[in-house]
Formats: sequence, C-alpha cells, structure tokens
Amino acid sequence: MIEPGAISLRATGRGRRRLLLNRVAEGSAVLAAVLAVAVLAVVIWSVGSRGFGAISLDFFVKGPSSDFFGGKGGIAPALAGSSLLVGVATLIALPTGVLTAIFVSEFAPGRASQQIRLWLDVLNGFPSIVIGIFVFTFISRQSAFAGGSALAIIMLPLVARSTMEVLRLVPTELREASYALGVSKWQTVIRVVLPTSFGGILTGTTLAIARAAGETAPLLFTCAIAGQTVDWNPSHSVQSIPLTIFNYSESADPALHEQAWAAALVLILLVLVTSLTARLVLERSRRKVGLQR
Amino acid sequence: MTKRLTILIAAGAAILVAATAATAKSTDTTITGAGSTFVQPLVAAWTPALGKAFGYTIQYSGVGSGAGIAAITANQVDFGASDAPLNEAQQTACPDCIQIPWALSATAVAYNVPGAPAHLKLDGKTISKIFLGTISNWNDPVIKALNKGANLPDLKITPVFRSDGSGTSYNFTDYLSSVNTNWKTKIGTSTQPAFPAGQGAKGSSGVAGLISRTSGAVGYVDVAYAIKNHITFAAVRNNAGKFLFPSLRRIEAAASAFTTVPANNAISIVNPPKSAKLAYPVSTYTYIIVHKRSAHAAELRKMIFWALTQGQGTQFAAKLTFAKLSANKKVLVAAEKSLKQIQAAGN
Repeated sequence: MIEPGAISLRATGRGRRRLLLNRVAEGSAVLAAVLAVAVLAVVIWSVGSRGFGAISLDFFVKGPSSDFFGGKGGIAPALAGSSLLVGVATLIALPTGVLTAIFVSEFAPGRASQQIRLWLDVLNGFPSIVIGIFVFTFISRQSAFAGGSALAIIMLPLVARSTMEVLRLVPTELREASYALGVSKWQTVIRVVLPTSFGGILTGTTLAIARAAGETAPLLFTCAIAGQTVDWNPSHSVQSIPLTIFNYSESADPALHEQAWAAALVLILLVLVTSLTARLVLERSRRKVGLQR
Repeated sequence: MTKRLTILIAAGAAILVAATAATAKSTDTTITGAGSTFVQPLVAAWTPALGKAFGYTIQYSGVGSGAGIAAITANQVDFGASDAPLNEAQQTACPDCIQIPWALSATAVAYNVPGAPAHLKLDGKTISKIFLGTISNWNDPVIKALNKGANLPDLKITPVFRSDGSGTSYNFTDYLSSVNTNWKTKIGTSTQPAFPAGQGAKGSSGVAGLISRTSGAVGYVDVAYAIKNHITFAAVRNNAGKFLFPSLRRIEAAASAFTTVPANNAISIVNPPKSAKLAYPVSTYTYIIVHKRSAHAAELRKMIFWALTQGQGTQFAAKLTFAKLSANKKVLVAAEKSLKQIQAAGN
C-alpha cells in the first residue's frame, strides 16, 4: 500500500510541459476564434458608424442629384442595378447549377461525377477578375446581361455544389419507395428528390446571391459605364452597389464619402440578412427531411 | 411540393416578362453616353430638362474623355464626350465618328497652399516648370516675384494630375505646349501625358479631392469642381499681360479670339493673342462625339440641337462656369451644320 502523499498528483517534468503546451495551444485557438468573430464585428461597427448618417428615405429612392452644387441624392440606380444584375445571374445560374447537380448526383457514373465536382471546386476558386475579362471577350458590349453572366459564372459552382450536398441528404428510402411504385427515374427526380431538397437548393442559391451581390471585379469590364438614373433594361449597362462604393470613395466630396460608407453598410446588411435567412431555411428543411424518414 | 416548384417557375416567368416589357419601353427613349467628367455636371443639369422636353432619359457615365472615346468607338454608348478633339489614331479607329463642340469652359489651376491669397498669380512658364518639377517649393523666387507681398510658405509643391485619359489634361498640356517649347518637346499635348513629377488621381472629382487633401498641392481641374470643393485657383497671365482667373466673360473672350473653324471642328482656344485682352488662356471647347450612322440618329440630333441652343441657358450653364457657345457664332454655326451628318443607321 502506498502512503498518501507519497505520489504527488501534480504533473512534473514532461507531463507538466505537455499540460502547459496544451493550455497555450487551447488558449491561442480560442483567441483566434474570438479574433475571427471580432473582425466581423469591427467591420460592421466601423462601416455602420461612418455610413449611418447618410441613410434616409431619399438615399434609397433617389438617384444622384442633378444639381452639381447641392442636393445629396441617393443610390437608387445602384440598388436597382444590383437587383437586376443578381436577377439575371440567378436566372442563368440556378437552372444550370441545379441541372448540373442532378446530373452529378443522380445520373453520372462515379468517375465523371468526381471529375465534375473537382472542376466545380476549381471554378469556385477562380479569380473573379479573370471571369470578368473572359465574359468581356465574348460579349464585348457592356450591359447588365454581360455583368449578370459574369456573376452567374461565380454563382454556378456555389449553387451546383450546395445542391449536390442536399441531394445527397435525400434518404435513399424515398427514392426506393418511388421506384417500388413503378415511377421512372426522371419522375422520381422531379417529383420526389427535388421537392424534398427544395429548401436546401433555396439556401445554396441565397448564399450564392449574397456572394454575387458583393462582387466588384467581374463588373469592371462588363457593366461599368452606367448612367445616373434607375435603369431596368438588361441590354444597358447599369449601376451596382460595389462599383458605386468604389467610385464614390474616390470622389472629393465628403458627402459622397459618407454615401459610399452607407452603401457599404446596405451591402453588408443585405449579405447578413440573406445568409442568416438561408441558414434558417436550411435548418427547417433539414428537420423536414428528418421527419419524413 | 410540386405546387411550390410551379409557383417558382411562374414567378421566374413573370420576372422575365416584366423585364422584357421594361426593355421594350425604355429602348425607345434612353440615350447612353460616356466620357468627360468635365462636362458631367452640365449633362446632369440637362438631363431632367431633356426628359421634360422630349421624354428622353440620358444615361451619362463620367468615365473620363479617353474612356469615353473608347466607348463610342466600340459602340458601347450612343455618344461619347471629350474635352479633347479626336487625335489621328482615334479618328482612324473610328472613321465615321464626328465631333461637335457643345460646351465651352475653362481649366482652373487649383492649389492648396495654407495662407496663400485667393487667386495666386502665375504665368504659363511658371506653371510648366512646376509640372516639370524644376520649381518645387512654394517660396521659389519665381513665384514670389509674381506675387509681391503674398505670404508664401516654405512648402514642397505636389503637382496633381489626371491618371486617366482626360480632355482636361489635353487642354492643360495644350496650353503649356504653347507657352513653353521645352514642355512641347519633352511632354507635348496629350490626354494622357507622361508627367515627370507629382501624383495622379482619377477623374475631375479625384483631382479635386487629392488637391483638397494635400497641403502644397497644385493641379488642374475644371472650374466648377474647384468651386464646389472650395479650392482656390490661380489667376493666370494671358498674352496681354493681365492676370485673370476663369470667369464666363473671360472664357467667352478667349473663344471669340479664334475665328477659323476647321472641317473636323477641332478648335484649340488656349493662349489667345495679345488682342484678346480679357481672355483666360486655359479655356477649352468640349465635344460630343457620335457616329454618323447611329441607331438613335433622330434623337441625337434633337438632343444636341437642344444642348447647343436652350442648353446654353444661364439656368444650366452659367453657375457651372460654362460660357455660351454663341460667344463665337462661327463655332455655333459649324456645330449646327455638323448635326446634319448624323443619319439613321442601316441605309
């Protein structure tokens, strides 16, 4: 029998060093996590405090003032333009992305689907400025359609990959049940698989939209020469929020600087709201799939 | 679930229909333009009035004269705007482009020198030496000699120039080339000159911004931008020996000193002769550039004619320091004559 106190429970030597190292590593990991979140908070706070003063009703519904010396005006053309651009991009990327995902997860042979996944990931990491130049070489006339096409290329891998993920979540039993009833494969996809993963597809698309709304580089070549009033014509070049921020920030006018910050705030809030909504919708649809199981 | 999908598809179709409807409606009346930031405030002032008069929507983008010429050459827009006439290469690149003078103003030599008088006196030689970098301090004896009794600090001069292709740069270097042969041979007249000293900024607004932020800066920018940003600007000596800062009368005096209008409408009115006593020496016409064959020919003719006549009215032009084109009747007549060359595309 060993007497109490003969063996200390305190770590010594190598054990102690390990313990210390563990604490240091854990501490720095926590610190890094806090920092990552803090950066977001600081960005939102600094943009908000600088831009909040410029936000008013006029800011959202009016264009830049036609009076050079007075009148603040607003960013209505940029808001309309960004919606148009993202709308065009979604109309192109959503069907293409979803069809790609269906092909990969339902129809393609294993090796092909692996390859497509890989190339989609490569496309996802592609420099966005290159996509802008690429589109410009094909559609050399600037327009909302050209800009939307460039944004669609950015959205495509995001939509396709996220759709693949949710299609994978659809329980095999559902598909088997459908086949057992004598339903053909494509009908199974359209009637069973797609509706079940509807929420997930919506989430992926929303996240892709949030990403596209903030992209600046692809628009420099494709949709930068734009007028000063609201324009809904996709064959015209239109204003966009990111380019408006860029242009206003280079101006001499402090009022325009404030508007640039305010536009940045609007963009951030837009991205935050869409991202959070997307997460909520995804959560809901996950639970639903779970119940049906 | 299929119901939802149907709704989604229906919504998509509805958006498409709405978009095409909007397209059909707006292509009739929207005129797009790009170019000079110099003339942008004037175009912005014209836009609502043109909307009222003809129902046109003008979508003008101030991207700089150089980019504006590129945009009209590539058919990106219905018209380009430039304060510099097309050079040979640009005319070759766009053989059916014509330029029409549609506004008249001046480039101010603006500076930010704490304690200096509201209109420092400068002459062309001195300005060219500042931009060559050979005069580099505000208390330089040359500047002091021109401004006897003025409080000039021991402060480094930072020349500020346009980094993008700019008609204002053209106007300014056109003037410097005419007063200093050294400038003419070394740098020359260009929309994008290779300035040996200083800092660049994008657009009139960017130049004004950089000057107002930089103590000791001097740059060139059109008068309206200098006034808007509360930047002081120099009184520049003309050939009659008078130190004048730009104003409507002095710009008009410069315009009326030149009586011949070449066939291509390119009229330089910098450094007018001695006889024009009241002329501000860095004045310039600014041009609208269009294709002779244009899809919006009729609309462009109407719009430009309006700009040449009613657009010169004091309620639009005067407060932006744009002088009346009618200061030189010959130019106005030539401009109106050029309008006839714009014809509908496709014949």
